[in-house]
Amino acid sequence: MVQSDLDRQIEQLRRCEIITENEVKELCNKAREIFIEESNVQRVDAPVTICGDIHGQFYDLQELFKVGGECPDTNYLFMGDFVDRGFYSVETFLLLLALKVRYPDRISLLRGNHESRQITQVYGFYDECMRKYGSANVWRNCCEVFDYMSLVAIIDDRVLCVHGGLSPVINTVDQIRTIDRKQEVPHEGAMCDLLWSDPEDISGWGLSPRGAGYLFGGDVVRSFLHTNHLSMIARAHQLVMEGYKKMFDETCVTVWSAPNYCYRCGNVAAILEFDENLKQDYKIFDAAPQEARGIPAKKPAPDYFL
Amino acid sequence: MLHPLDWSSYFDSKQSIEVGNTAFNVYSCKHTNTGPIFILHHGAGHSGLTFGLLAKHLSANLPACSIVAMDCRGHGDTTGPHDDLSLAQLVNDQIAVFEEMFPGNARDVVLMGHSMGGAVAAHSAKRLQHVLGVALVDIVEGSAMDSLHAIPVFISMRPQSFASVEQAIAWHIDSGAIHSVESARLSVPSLVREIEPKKYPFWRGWYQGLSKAFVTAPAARLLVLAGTDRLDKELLIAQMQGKFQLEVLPSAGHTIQEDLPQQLAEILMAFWQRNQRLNIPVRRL
Repeated sequence: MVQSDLDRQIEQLRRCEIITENEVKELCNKAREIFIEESNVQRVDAPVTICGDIHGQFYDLQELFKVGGECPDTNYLFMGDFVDRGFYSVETFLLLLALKVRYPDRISLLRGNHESRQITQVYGFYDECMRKYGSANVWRNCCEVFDYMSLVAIIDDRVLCVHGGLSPVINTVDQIRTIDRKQEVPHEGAMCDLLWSDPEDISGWGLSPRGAGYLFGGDVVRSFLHTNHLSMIARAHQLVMEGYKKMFDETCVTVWSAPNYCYRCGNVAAILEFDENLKQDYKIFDAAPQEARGIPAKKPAPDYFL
Repeated sequence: MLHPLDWSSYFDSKQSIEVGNTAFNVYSCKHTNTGPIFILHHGAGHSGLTFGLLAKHLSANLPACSIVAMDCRGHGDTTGPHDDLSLAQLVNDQIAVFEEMFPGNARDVVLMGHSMGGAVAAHSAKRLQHVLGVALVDIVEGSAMDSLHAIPVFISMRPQSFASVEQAIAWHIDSGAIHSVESARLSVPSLVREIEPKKYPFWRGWYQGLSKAFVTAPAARLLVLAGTDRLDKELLIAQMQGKFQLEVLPSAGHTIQEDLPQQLAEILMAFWQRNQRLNIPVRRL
């Protein structure tokens, strides 16, 4: 791919305009070549800015870049859930992918539980691809990329970043390295848990009410950090009305980056900046103003609900 | 041929359970005294037969379970006064019938309700012992409230009468209300009774506070919907905070249990199996 073509595509996507189906195919192939070389456990150097769920809220992603700085000026780590629910999953994911291909060392993308064939067919990404391209090819190309995305990242050997959380079958980071990740997100097991689990004020492990993954307590986090010589876990996956939430004596933090989620939850969003000494700075931001983005059409209520 | 089907191919028994001056008609499958008990509550205008195909699939795959599907007050073959169709009354009825059938129960209970029945299930969860899970089928407070105003119009658009039961069955299939011909033949004959206008005042009360009752139910929570965009704000937040399991079956209509009984049975069984005990596959170092 010619660099100037890629730069043009990035400019186009930054205006929330889609690129052609052939361009998507080429971009996905290129991205896959990059992801294939990355281990399940991505090494990331500070300074870095970490971000949580985006869910196709393209204009809010632009707000995020305004607050955190543009890529490649800022080094970014996104912890998954780029697609579904919002109205611009295609533009959102393709922009992040194009940035990854253009600046592979300045942006890291982890897989979230929504980066899955099954989930995207229910929660909007599939339908959006069909609507915007008239075929499932773009969706299929993107899903193939999902299968190659890293599962976790470790910043300066100290901070573990993952979409969901820990797994009862994983005690060490080396065990994460042994997972065969190049597949659809399974319904159970280590890979599923990393993308689905949630921290909770319990001791030990609990069943997740989500129907997938587990709940893990502060003692689980402490022992995992101790075993692996880490200082904290940063994750996304759960909506936090205040944008971020620290738990377990600040050994676990949730970062949520989709303001006013689904255009109606009324929450603010956050990103977490680590400087070169891993000092943390949380930045809060609001949804893009209405006039800056297309207003989503409200679907009519179903006829009959008795 | 659209002739009606009989309950007996789907349930083991059809019995009358008297509570006060009401005789509740109850369909059930009671295979053993060990497995979980699924208590199913139908929606307004329906009857226990709406769960016939679901019960058949559940029984086939989970032979130890018991299944109870009653006709609620004012519906199906239940007889007695039906002036009060308030949520509180319907919850009391469900609990009274359950206690009559399973005195001193110690087995796991899974409460499931379709539409209005979902409200009964959610509010019964706090009142019964051993409730392992609560499952709501295609009901969301916000969406229900939004569509209440349209219901009288909807009802007025339905035919006032049918020349035959077969014609009623045909209408429910042709209009898309029920996708499964088999299920329509089973369930439609029992619901030819029309909803009376004087019942309108109860509607709001069925749904008000449903989302809160559901997300705070002291049990595992499952919501099965025919479309994702039906979540209201409270449920959307709760879902993204991981407080319940959401399953979406986009190819179903509103009566999911009739349109996709096998898929719903599988979801319900997995829900019970997953939640019956905490089984942590811990790997030691």
